[in-house]
Amino acid sequence: MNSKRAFAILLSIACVTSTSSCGDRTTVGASGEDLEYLAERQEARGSATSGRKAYDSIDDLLPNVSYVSTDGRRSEAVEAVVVGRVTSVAPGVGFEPRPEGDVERQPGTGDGDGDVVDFDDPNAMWRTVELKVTVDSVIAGDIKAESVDVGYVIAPIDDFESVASGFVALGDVVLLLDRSVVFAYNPGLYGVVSNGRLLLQVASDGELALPFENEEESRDLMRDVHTLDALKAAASAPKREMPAVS
Amino acid sequence: MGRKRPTKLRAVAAGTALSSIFVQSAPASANWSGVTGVEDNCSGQNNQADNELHTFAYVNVQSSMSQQLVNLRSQIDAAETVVSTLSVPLTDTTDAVVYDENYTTYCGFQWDGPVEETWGITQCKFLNGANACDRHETRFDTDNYLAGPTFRLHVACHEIGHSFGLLHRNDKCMTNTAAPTVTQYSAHDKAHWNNEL
Repeated sequence: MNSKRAFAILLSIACVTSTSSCGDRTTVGASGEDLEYLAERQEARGSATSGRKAYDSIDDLLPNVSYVSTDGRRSEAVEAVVVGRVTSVAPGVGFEPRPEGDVERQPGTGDGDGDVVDFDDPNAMWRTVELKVTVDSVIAGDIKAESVDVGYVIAPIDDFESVASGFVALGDVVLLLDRSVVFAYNPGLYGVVSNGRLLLQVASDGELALPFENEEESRDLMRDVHTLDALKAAASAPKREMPAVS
Repeated sequence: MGRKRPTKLRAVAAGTALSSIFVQSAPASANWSGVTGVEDNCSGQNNQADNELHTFAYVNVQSSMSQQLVNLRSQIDAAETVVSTLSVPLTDTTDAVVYDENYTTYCGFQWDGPVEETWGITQCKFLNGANACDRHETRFDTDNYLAGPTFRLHVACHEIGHSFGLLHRNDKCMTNTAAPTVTQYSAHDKAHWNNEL
């Protein structure tokens, strides 16, 4: 277990065993073991992929940073940034992949690479879970609701009960909310930036951790901004631009 | 529902920074998955290939990518033990099926976006009786091919490496944060193929 992961789990254990330091956030079934399981599973998801990213630091993803593509289009990585806590997790849907060559899966159709099936469908190759997140404060963006619904992707081999418990055990989190096409089946769902990897956990002293990210990458991404106060300050900094990935 | 606790992988995050290359440490023998007994299905688990003859079948692979796969297989065949061959059509003995499409949400990833994009993914589809991977599937995203042949060879090198059972490692093209001009397997990777590590 690396030090970052240990930090995240110790924080969750503190939260589920003491309501004095973390507020009234104890939820039956929330455990550090389940958070460890969740973190391992989320971290592993990208281990057989390759790709590229345009950002170097977590503050590059805040809404005051615009990404400019080679053809001049501008866009932001996220729509809003909130501080809150996961209060419940429900099964979402499953996705059965369409055959390669199926014209329905081409970009622009809005259908993506899979057909929606039941969450427990044995043919589902990836599944979603839907988090209810109570919003304690808004760092950036136009969120007025007391709670937001957030989607996450899990694999068929992932145990839902443990995943759900793990999310609740996170305690205080900062969510950088985007509108991922992965959750287009439910327009009410936000995604978390970087396919969910960059969820930030907040310790009682305001230190941030990335429990779904490996230690080296966490260190790099948070080398300049590693506290909640620093993140808030970065979010209120003047607007700036960065090159998009393409 | 019983929990299946997977083997902890040394996963590293997807992504190559545009403005910097991350340096990640790894133990010397860290990037061989071994026989995990895991069929992937978007879980991110890797599994060692079941034999040293790696038979490929291409489905919908564009000519620009198939040429790079020819170049890659030449490099693979230069290893002492591993041999690659192309079988068309797909048969029961095919070890690696390669697909080439414009993916958008496969495996629940957002493949295209202004701040992050996914180039490829490799999964174990079927196990053999000894819990090694009988067949891997590799998917390349055609959306990113405008970057040119060297880029395609880099992505092929990385993903086909996964199809042998190699995990990410800070060395040559199995580095997940390598510059897209790195197109060679490391001596360490080849030593894994040759069962020297």
